[in-house]
Amino acid sequence: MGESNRALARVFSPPSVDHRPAVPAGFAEFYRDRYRELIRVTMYFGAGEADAHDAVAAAAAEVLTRWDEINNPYQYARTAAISHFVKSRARALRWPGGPALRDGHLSGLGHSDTTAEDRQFVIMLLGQLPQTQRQVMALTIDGYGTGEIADYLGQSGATVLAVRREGRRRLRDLLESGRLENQRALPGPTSTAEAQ
Amino acid sequence: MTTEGDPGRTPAGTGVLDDEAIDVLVDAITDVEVDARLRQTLHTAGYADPVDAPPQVAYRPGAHARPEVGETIGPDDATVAELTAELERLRREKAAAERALGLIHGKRDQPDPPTDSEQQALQMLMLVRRTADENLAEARREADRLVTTARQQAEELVEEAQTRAETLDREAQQRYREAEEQYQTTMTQLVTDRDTVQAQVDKLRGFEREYRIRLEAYLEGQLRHLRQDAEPNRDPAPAEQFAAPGSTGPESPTPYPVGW
Repeated sequence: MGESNRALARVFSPPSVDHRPAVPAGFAEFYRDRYRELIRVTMYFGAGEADAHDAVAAAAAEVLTRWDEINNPYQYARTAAISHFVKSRARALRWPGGPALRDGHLSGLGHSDTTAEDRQFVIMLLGQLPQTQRQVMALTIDGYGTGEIADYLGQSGATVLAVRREGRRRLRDLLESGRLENQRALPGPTSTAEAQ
Repeated sequence: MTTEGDPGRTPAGTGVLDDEAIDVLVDAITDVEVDARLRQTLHTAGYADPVDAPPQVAYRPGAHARPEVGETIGPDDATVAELTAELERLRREKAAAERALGLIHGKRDQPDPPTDSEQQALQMLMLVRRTADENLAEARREADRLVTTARQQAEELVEEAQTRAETLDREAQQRYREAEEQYQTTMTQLVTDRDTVQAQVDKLRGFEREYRIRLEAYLEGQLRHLRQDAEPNRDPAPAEQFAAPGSTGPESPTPYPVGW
């Protein structure tokens, strides 16, 4: 069948009846606009490319189901993507179950949505980093660019890149070790307002 | 505190990508891939496909009736805008892929051999670049075809409009000439009629004047007869001095019948 016939087939083919719910207004645009940034932030946090895509997909699905409840979808998606990445790594490494954060171990990994425990665990992970790395990673998660972070910390861009890379390496080691060094829920590094 | 190393390269032994490599990988994500993942996410969540998904080809030559004069020619503005945006997007993707490829090539010039992840990134970027080139070429072909079709239709419409305009002009001129001839004929006839009527009016006025004079003379003659009959012994001389010029007197025949 030639191109013209295919075009005619597309034009005159009967419309398919789709009873699935319509996508909330603005979600597709949000997804297209923010997908790469979400992948970037998740990979900055230490995720590999495949893990980042999976984590962002899970975060996007979560944002989709809560679209009408979320005031800042991008901020929510960043946190959710990183939480999903952490949970996926913990699940892959078969961390022992149990109460959340009990004895420094991650638990409660069966659920799909991002909970306060997940966020708290991400904060605890960041709390294991030295202060500079923690600041850089927290500002990165908050959506700041390298130049903005460098200006805020009074460092050069190259220094920020190096600090973030080292922080990424330490986070990976922490996740692979399966055990946190301590349980202190450190304040502030994930909060921009607090950082300011 | 920091690990200073070769920028853009995975530090030896760490297995952690640096920011530059991450940026390259992220920038190499195409819009097509993002849309595919969006559809997958929506499908998994049980939602319909987004209605505003980028159309493959919005304008299909031959699928529409030939436009009339005054109708929009060829693809509408929205279709042209979509195709233009598609071209721009593909150019951006190509440029990003080329930058990434150049970066990888630059890294390969370094003394250290490329790692497996860099090789995979290179292969992926080459695939992305090839796909972007193919999409760009296809979009250009489609755009050229649309432009050619629109131009042909425009030329045909212009030619048809010119022919129609010339025909209308000829018909209008012909009607103007006919109307002018009819006007001249009518005006000539009206002038002739006016002159004829004017002559008749003049003739009637002359007759009316002559008749009035004769009637006055007749009536005066009748008055003289009456006076003579009433005063037979009077000298008729005084009455005659009032006779109208040219009057023949009581004995003269009346110029018109009495009952007239």
